[in-house]
Amino acid sequence: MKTIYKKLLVLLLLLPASLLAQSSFNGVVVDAKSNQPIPGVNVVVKGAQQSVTTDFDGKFKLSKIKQGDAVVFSFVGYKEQTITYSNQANLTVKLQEAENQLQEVVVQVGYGSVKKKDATGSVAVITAKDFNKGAITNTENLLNGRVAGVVVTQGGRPGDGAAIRIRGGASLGASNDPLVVIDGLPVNNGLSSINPNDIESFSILKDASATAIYGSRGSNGVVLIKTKKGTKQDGVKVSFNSLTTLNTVAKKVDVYSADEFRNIITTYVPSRVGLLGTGSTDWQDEIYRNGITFSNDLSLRGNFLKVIPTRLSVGKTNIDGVLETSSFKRNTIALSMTPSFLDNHLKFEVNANYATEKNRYADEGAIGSAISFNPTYVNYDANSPFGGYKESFTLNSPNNYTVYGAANPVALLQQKNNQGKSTRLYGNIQTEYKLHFFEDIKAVANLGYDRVEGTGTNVTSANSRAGLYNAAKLGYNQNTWGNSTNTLLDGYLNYNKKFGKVKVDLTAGYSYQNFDSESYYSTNTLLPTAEQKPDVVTSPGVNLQAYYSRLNVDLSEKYLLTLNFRRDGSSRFSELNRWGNFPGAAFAWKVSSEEFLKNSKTVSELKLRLGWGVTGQQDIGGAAYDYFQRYNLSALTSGATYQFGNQYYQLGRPEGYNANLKWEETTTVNAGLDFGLFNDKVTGSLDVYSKTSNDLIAYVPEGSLQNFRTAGFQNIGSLTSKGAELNINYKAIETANSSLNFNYNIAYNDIKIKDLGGLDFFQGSVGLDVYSQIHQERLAPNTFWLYEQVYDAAGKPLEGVYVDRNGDGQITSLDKHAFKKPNADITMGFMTNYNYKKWDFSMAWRTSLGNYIFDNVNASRSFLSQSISDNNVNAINNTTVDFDNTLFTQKRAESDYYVKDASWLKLDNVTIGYLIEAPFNVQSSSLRLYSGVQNVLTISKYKGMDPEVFGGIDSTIYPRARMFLFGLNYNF
Amino acid sequence: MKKIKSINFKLFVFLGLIAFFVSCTNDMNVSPKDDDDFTSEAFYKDPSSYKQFLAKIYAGLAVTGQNGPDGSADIQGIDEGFGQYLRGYWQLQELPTDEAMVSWGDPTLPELNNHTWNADNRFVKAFYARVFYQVGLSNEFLRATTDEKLASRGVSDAVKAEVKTYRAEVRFLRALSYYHGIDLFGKVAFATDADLVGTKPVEKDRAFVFDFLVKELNAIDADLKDARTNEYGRVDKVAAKMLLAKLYLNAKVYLGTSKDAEALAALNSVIGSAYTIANVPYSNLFMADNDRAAVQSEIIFPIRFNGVNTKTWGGTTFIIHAATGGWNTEVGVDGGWYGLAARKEFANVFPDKTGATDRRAMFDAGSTSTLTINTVSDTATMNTAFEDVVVTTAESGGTRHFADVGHNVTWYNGNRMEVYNLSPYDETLVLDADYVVCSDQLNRLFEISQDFLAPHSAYDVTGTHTFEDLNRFGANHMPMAWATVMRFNRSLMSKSVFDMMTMVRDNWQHYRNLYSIAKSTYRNDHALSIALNTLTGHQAEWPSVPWSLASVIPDHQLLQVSDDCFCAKYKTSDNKLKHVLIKDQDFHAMGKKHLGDIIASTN
Repeated sequence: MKTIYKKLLVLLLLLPASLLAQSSFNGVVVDAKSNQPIPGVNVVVKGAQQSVTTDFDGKFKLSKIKQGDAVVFSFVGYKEQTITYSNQANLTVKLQEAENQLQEVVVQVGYGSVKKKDATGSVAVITAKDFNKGAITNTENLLNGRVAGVVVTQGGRPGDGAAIRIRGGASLGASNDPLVVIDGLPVNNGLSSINPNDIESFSILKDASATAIYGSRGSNGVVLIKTKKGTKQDGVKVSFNSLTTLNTVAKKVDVYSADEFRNIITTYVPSRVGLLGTGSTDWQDEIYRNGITFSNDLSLRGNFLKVIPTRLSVGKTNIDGVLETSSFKRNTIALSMTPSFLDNHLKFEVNANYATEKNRYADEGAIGSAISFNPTYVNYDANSPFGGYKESFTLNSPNNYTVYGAANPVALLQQKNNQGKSTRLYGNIQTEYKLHFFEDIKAVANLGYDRVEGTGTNVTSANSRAGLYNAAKLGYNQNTWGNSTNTLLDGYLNYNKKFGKVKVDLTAGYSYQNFDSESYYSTNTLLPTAEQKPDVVTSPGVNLQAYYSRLNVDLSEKYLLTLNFRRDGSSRFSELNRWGNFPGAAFAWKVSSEEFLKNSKTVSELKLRLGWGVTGQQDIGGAAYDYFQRYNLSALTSGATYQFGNQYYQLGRPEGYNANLKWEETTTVNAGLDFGLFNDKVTGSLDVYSKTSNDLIAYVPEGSLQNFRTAGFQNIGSLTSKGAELNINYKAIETANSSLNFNYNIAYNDIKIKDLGGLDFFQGSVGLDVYSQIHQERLAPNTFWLYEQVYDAAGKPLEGVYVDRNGDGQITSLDKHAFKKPNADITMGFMTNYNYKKWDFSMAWRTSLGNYIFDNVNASRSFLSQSISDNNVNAINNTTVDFDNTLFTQKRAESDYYVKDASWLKLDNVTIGYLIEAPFNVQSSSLRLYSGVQNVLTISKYKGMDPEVFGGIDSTIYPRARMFLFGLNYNF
Repeated sequence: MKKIKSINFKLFVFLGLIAFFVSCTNDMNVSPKDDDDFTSEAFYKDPSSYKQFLAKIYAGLAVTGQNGPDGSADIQGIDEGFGQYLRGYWQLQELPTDEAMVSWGDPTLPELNNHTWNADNRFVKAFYARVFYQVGLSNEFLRATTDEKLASRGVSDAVKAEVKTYRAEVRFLRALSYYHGIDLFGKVAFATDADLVGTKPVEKDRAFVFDFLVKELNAIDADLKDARTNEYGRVDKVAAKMLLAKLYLNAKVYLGTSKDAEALAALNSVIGSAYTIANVPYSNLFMADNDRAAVQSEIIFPIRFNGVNTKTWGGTTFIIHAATGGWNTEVGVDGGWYGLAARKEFANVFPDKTGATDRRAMFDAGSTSTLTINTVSDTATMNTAFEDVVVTTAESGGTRHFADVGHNVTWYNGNRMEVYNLSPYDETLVLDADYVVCSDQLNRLFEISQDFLAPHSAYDVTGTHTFEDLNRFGANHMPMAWATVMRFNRSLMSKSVFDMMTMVRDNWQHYRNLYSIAKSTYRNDHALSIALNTLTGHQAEWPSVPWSLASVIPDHQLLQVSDDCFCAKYKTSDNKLKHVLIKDQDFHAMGKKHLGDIIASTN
C-alpha cells in the first residue's frame, strides 16, 4: 500500500497545473429511441491518438480537439455515427439501434463489472427479463430454476428464506451457502427482508477463476445482487405493483380415515378399542386453511434536485400461511441515490434500506400431530381441562396431569403464540473518484453497514398440554432478543488504459469486514427464579480482512486474460494459519472475432473460456473460535453447579479446541463455451468443471483422551465435484406482433468424498442416536447407509430381516450398505415466454433427477409398538397408510426400505397477462394485469407430501402452497 | 487555489484510510466477549478458578454439561442423559444381572438385559466416552496446576497449599475412572498429564493400569486429607484406601494372581477410620436429604445431586424415576418413567420382604408400599419469617354456615382489599388467618415475576371431596381464584385487582345476580375471581400460584400432631374412619372451629 500511495501523491500534486490547460468537447450519448444515456460508447477522434468512452450516464469529454476534427461514436448494437467538431458545447449524440443486435449486457464480477462478452469466468447474469414470473414474494425465487448448476430450495413457510447451492457446494462440515453481495456489501443475514421488486439483476459467479477475487469466501460461489437505481431523466416515473394470491394446500399426507383407523385398532390392538372415539376428524383439514398473500409496492424514480438520480420504493407484503396461525408481514423502504460531481469525476452511490418483519410462527409439530392424532376424536371435549381441546390425559391430583399419545394438533396451534419481530437497516455508500487528468485511474471507497435487531415472545397457555410443568399447569412464556451488526470498509484503485491493441485493466484493493452479534433468551419466565436460566450470549465476533488484485488484459479484442490474487485473513484461525493466498487465472478466446468467422451466417458469437482458481471456506458457524483454549464457567443458576460442604461451586470446564484449524481450499478447473447462432437467435453457454476441496473442515469424532470432547472441527480429507452445465436461449419468433422465447438449462453434478482419513461419519439423525446417512470415502456426501431390507415373494418387507452382507452370521452395523444419495445427478429448468400483441404468457418448469429421500414420515410412525399402540396404555395414534405395506410392529428406521426415489418434475408457474397502454388517458403510462397459478403440478414417484426436500430426510415439511394469483403492474 | 485545497482534503482522506488498514489487522486477534467464556489466561487470573475446575471434575460424575439437566453437553453425538456417569455405570453393572431389568425399547438398551450387546451398543459407547472424558479433564487439571505454572501466575502460598490437595483428589478421581475403565472394558486407552493434549493415547492392558493405579493411590495418600477432615463431598485418605481395596479384591481377574491379603489390609484401614455407621433409620440413607450431618459419618464418598443446583437426566433422577411407575407420589417424585424393575429372583433372595428381619428389604408390591423417599424437612431451617405482619381491620363479610359448628356465624372477612394501602412494601403476601404454614413453599411465590398471584384451584387433602363445585362458581362455571393466599407487587395490575374487588363487594347483589351465584353471602374468593376474570378479559389464564391449595374441609376434624404436622380425620364412603397426615405442606383449614380448638389448646 505504501508504494501505491507515493505514486498517487505525485499524481495528485500534478493535477492543478494541468487543469489550467484544459479545453474540451463535452456531450452525452443517448439512445435515439428511448433517450436513455448509453454508457461505454467509444468516442474516437479520427486521425488523432485520442479516444474515450462514455461514462455510466452516457457522458464524454474530449480535450485538445481542433475544429474540423471528425469524431466517431461507436457502440456494439448501434450504428456508428460521425460528427465534425465545430465548437459545439454539450452536444447530445443520438445513436440509432442497429437491427437485430443485442443490447450489451454488463456483468458484476466483484469490485467492478465487465461486459458479458468480455467475461472470462463462468458468470451467469439474470436480469428482469429472465426473472421468474408469478407469485414472487422473496428474492431467491426470482432465479429459482433459471441458472444451470444453481439449485434453490424454497421452503413453504411464509417469509422463509431459501437455500441456494451452486454446483452442489464444496464443503462437508462448514457452510455450503454462497457468498451474497448486495451492491458491494457482503451480507450474511439472508435475503428474506429484501423486496424482490427492488432487484435489477443477479450475477452468479460459479467457477473459481471468477470467485477467487472473494478468496476465502468464494468456494460455494458468489451471488452478486444489483438493485434498481434512479435516472437522470426529468420527471418522476412511478411504478406500482400489486399481487394477491390465494394459497391452498396442494397435497396432504395419506393417513387412515376414522373408520380405517377403527379397523386397524380392532385388528391389531384389540385391547385398546375402548380408546376409540365416536367422531371422524381429518386432522390435516383442521390445521390447514386457505391463506392469502397481499404484496404491494410503489417506487418513484427521478432526478432529485436535478442532480441526484434517486429511486425510492416502499413495499408491503402480508402472507397468511396455509398452516393455521402462521403469518409473515414485511415492510420495506429502499432508497438509492447516485449523484455525480466534478464532471462525473466524483460519483456517489448511496443505498439505504430499512425493513421490518413480523413473523408469527406456527408450532409445526402440529403437522406431525395431525398425522398421528386419533381421528375418532373430535376437537372439542367439554370435560377437557386443556382449554376444552380433546387430549388424552389422566388427572393425578387436582391441577396435576399426565398426558399421553400425540398432542391435539389444533390445540398446538391455537394455544401457542410465538412471534418474532425484526428490523434491518442495511446499505452502503460508495464513492468513486476518477483522478483529474489521469482519468485512467479511479479510486473507489465503499462503506457498508448491516444491522438486524430482533425480539421474540413465545407464549404457551397454561391450559395447554405443552404448558405443563412437572405435570402441573404452569404455562410457558419466553422472551428473546438478538442483534447482529456487519460493518464493511472496502477501498480499491482501478487503472484502465489502452496501449495500441492491448487494453489493460488493473484493480487492487483492501477489504475490512467485521461481524458482531449478541442474543438473549429468557427460558420460561413463569418458573420460579431459581429454575430460570436467562443468558445473554455474546459472540466474540468475526473479523475478515483481505488484499486483492485483478489484472485484465485484452489483446486485439480477441484474447482475454484475467489474473486474480487475493490474500485473505480470518479471525477464525490462529496467527499461524490466519492468512491464505487465493490465486485465479482465466483465459478467453473470442473465436467469432477471428477473420474466418467474422462473416459467418451460422455463428454469430463464439467464445472459448478456460479458468483455474483456488478459493477457500472459513465459515464454520457456531464453533467460530476453535483454535485457542477457552474455559466455560457454568452460571450459578444453571442447575449445573456442585456442592462441597454447604456451598455450591460453578463448574469451570476446559473447552475442546483445535489449534491447527485452518480453512478449506477448493481448486476449480473450468472450461466453457459461450455461443450465439443464426444472428443470436440461439444463444447459450456450455461449461464443464472439476473441483477439489482439500483440508475439509468437518465435525468429526475425536478419540478418547485426545481432546476435551468427543467430536469437533478438524481439517480432514477431500471432496471432488465434477459437472457439466448447459444454458440455451432460443428466440423462436420475433416479429412486431409476437415473440416466443425458450430458455432451457441442464446441469449434471457428481460429488464424491475422495478422502476422509479412512473414517466414517454418521449423519442424518432419524431418531435417538439412529442415523440414516454417512460420510464415507468414495461415496457422495450424506449417502444413505442402512440395512438391506429382505422382501417376501409378494414384495412385502420382512420385518427385521436384513441381508447379512459380510456373511458373519449376525446382523451388526457392519452389514449396513450405501444405498442412494439425497443430491440430484441432474437438474433442469425450462421457461417459455410468449407475447402476442397485448397478451403475454409464461410457463416455468423445473426437474430434479436421481435424488432420493429417506421417508421419515413413515419410518417414524408406521408401526405398532410405541406408535399406533402408544407406549402408554392410555393412548392410540393414527399413522400413514404405508403401514398397509409393512405391517411393522417395531420402528425399523434403519431399513433401506424407507429410501425412496424422489426424482421430480414440477410445473412451477403458469402466468397470463394483458397490457393496457395509456390507461385512464394518461400518456406514456401502462397497466398490465396478470393472473396465474404457482406450484401447479408435481410429478414424482414419491408418495409423500412433496419430493422437494432439502437434505434428503423427509420428516414432514411445511407444505408449499398452491397459489392462485392475480396482480397488476402500473407505470406512469 | 481552491482546487488544491479540496484535493488535499481528499488526499488526507485517502491517507487516513491507509493508516486505518494497517492498524486493523489487530482486530483479527479476537477473544471471548461472553461473560461465561474465558481464555485460559483470563480464567486462571482468578484464584477461585482452581476450585471451579476441581468442581467440574467431581461434577463429571453427576451432571452432563454446563447446564442442568441438559444443555452445553460435555459429550457430543449422543443423547445427553445417556452420557451421565452414574447412569451409564449403573446400567452396565446392573442390567446384565438378575438385579434389574428395563422395559424401554430404546435401540440397543434391551441388548444389555439380553446379553447380546456388541460394539454398536450406544450405552457402552456413552459410558466409555464419559470415563475417558473424566480422565482427560483430570490430566488437564494436573498439567495446568504444576508448580511452575502456579509460580508463573504468581499464585499465593495459601492457594498453592490448597491446590496441592486438589491435585491429590484429582489423581484419585482419575484412578477411579481408570478403575471403572479396566473393570468394564479390559484394555483401555492410556495417557497421563505427561502427555500433551491431542497426542494419540496408547493402549494398555489391565495389568499395566492396575500397577499404575496402585502406585497412584499410594502416592497421593500423603497429600489427601485425613478421614472426615475434608469438606463433605470431597475425598480423603479413606476413599483412596477403599478404591485400593476394590482393586486388590479384583486382582485375580485383572492379573491372574490374588491379592486378598492386601485387600484385607486396605479394608481394615477403612473400617478403623473415623467413619461410623450412621445412627438413623436405614431407609433415611436413601432419601433426598441424605447429606444431613447425621448421615455424613457413614458416607465415605458421595456423588452429590440436588433438585435445583445439580440436575441431570441420569444419576439419582434416573435411578428413582425410572424405577417408579404409577406410585411416584409415594416416593416423592413428580412422575414415574415406568422403566426399571427388580427381577422376582432378586426379591426372592430375601425370605422376608417386609424389612422386619433384614432392613435392606424395601420393596414396593403395589398399593401396600411402605417405601418413602421424601424430603425430611429440617424445622430449624424452615424459613417462615416475614418482613412484617399487618392485620386488616375486622369488617363483617356477612354470616355464613359452618359445618364444623353446625350453625350460621358472622365472619369478619370483608376488608381484604385494604392491604394494598396498608402494606408499605413493594412485595406483599396476604394470608388468611386459617392458612397454616408448615413449609417454606411460600418463598417460591417471591421468585415468580408476576404482579399478582393467587391459587387457581384447591383440593381436599383427603381426596373424599372433588372440589369441582368449589373450583368453579356461578351458573357459568367460572374458574375460581382463591383469596386465601395472594402475593402482589405494588403495581397498576395489583391495584386494579383490589379496586375491582372493592367494587364487587360494594355492589355485591349486582355481581351476584350477574354471575348467578347461589349463596347470598359476599365471599372474597368470588370477588377476587370476578376481578381477575374481568381484568384478564375472561381468558381464565391469569398467572396463578403454581400449586393447588391443599384444604381441609370443615366436615373433617383437624388435629395437630407436632409443630409441622397435622392430621385430618375423615370417614370413607363405607364409613371407615381414616386419617391423613399433612406434613411439610401448607394448607387451608376451612373448618375454623377445629383450628380455633388447636390454637386454644396450644395457648
